[in-house]
Amino acid sequence: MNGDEQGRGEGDSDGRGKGNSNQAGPARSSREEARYSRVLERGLLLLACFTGERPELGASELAQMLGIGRSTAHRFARALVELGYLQRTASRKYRLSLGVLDLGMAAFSAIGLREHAHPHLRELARRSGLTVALGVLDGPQVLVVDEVRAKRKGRKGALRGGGAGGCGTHLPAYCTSLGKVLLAHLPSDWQDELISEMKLLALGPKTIWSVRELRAELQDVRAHALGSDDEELLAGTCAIAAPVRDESGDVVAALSVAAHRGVLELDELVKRNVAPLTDTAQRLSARLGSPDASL
Amino acid sequence: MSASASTGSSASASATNGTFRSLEYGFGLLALFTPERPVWGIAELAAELNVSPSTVHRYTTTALNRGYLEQTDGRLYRPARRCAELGMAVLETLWPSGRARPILRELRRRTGRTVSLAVLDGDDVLYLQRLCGFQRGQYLLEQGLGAGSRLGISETAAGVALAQVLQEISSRKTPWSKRNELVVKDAARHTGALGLALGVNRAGEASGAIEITVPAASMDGAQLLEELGEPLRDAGAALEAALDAALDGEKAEERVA
Repeated sequence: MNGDEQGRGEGDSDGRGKGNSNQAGPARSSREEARYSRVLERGLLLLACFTGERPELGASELAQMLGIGRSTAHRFARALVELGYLQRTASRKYRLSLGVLDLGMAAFSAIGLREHAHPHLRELARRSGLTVALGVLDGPQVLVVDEVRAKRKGRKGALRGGGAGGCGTHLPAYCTSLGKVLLAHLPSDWQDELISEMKLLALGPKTIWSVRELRAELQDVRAHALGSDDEELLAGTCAIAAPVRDESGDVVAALSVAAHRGVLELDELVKRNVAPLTDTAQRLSARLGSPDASL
Repeated sequence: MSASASTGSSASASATNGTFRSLEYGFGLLALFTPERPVWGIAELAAELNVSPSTVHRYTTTALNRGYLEQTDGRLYRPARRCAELGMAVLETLWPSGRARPILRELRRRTGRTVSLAVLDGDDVLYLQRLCGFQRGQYLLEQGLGAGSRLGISETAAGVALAQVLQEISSRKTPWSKRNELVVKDAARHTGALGLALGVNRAGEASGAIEITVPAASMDGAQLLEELGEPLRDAGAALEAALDAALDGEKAEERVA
């Protein structure tokens, strides 16, 4: 197969790198070119020109958007029609065809929240040296979907952070940082209903077990987009959590970093880890398609 | 035809063939990533496409660079966010699903349940949007379904509702509007899910369906209808109104043009 070599030679004169985000990146060395398919790149860039706002494009428009010649744009578009990824319109323009759904979209959608999040949790655990967890609301409880525990150097397997109990564990929402973030971002009627289902028990030395205080705490969590738990679930542990949003912009999960108070007090946990925590939650939100987050 | 023109024509045909072949292989590689097999290694891709590992590497590097693939911990490849964005662009051209998003979001907020928008595509139900609920048991219902997922018509409440609407329209027994029935179906029994769906009409032709999915253990069909029928009907009415408004807007634009 040598189609790339043929396509590459032709494409070099098409004026790449004019600053359009749809155009290919800076010129590569010949060694890099051998490891790269400019034809595929151009095909992907061409498909990406079509959006809900720009559903139909002609060869001239595509050529202008991609910074290539009209005949090249036409040749690529024709090939993509033949392959079933574009279709011709009555006005002799092009539009995406349903064939593009076969280019990994269903496979991407089938990836579960845990699989999307796991690399982010590992990275955050590595950066913080603490235990990191991801939770979703499951009625009045938090379901821990994933947890990554950091290991301390020299003591293999030794935990530095207070864990959330492991993947699959249910935790009370009212006294965990994860749960507070999730409750805080619910519509108020749902927040009231779920709180009314809870039996607020003093599980730790500082558990908030008054409904009035819990509501005030949740307002604060929502305002700062940060939840905390300071010996509320368990004596000697503290944690902070940030919201994770989906493509609708709603909060669908929360990400936490937890520590034993012997390692870090809550103030120090916040000071050292709030930035990496919120940054990771933002990147995960972007991955889930949140309109307010960027990768 | 002169010799030089002939040579030029031959070079052009060769470039066209080369472009086509490269696109065929490159996009063929991306199409191998399916819900059934979302993760691939270089050697497996090479064997499947019957090309050398170095050729596959060139394509995966390109797709990786452009955000269509990403690498897992084990240096394997899986689809990345750009695949979903490209798919959403075509779904948006197929059906104005962007107008449905705030309505689905409100329905999820109101019910706490997983809500979806689906259309018929041949013999399949194609999901355009799916938002996971937060009530007890909803998360565990998620079985790898999302925007772009397909199921058989008889497997989902949405499919039955859509078939029902199409039948009504084709029989022309009744005006298409506001006559849709709520459909309850233990949609995918193997996942323990119960579905409630409502067909939504768009100018009496291409139709969609809104679906609410709950854990089958949480309520029976009668309870589902009683508790969630009203919010689903409200969402259906809101979506039909939004679609009508969109259609009016399109007609107005056409008149101006």
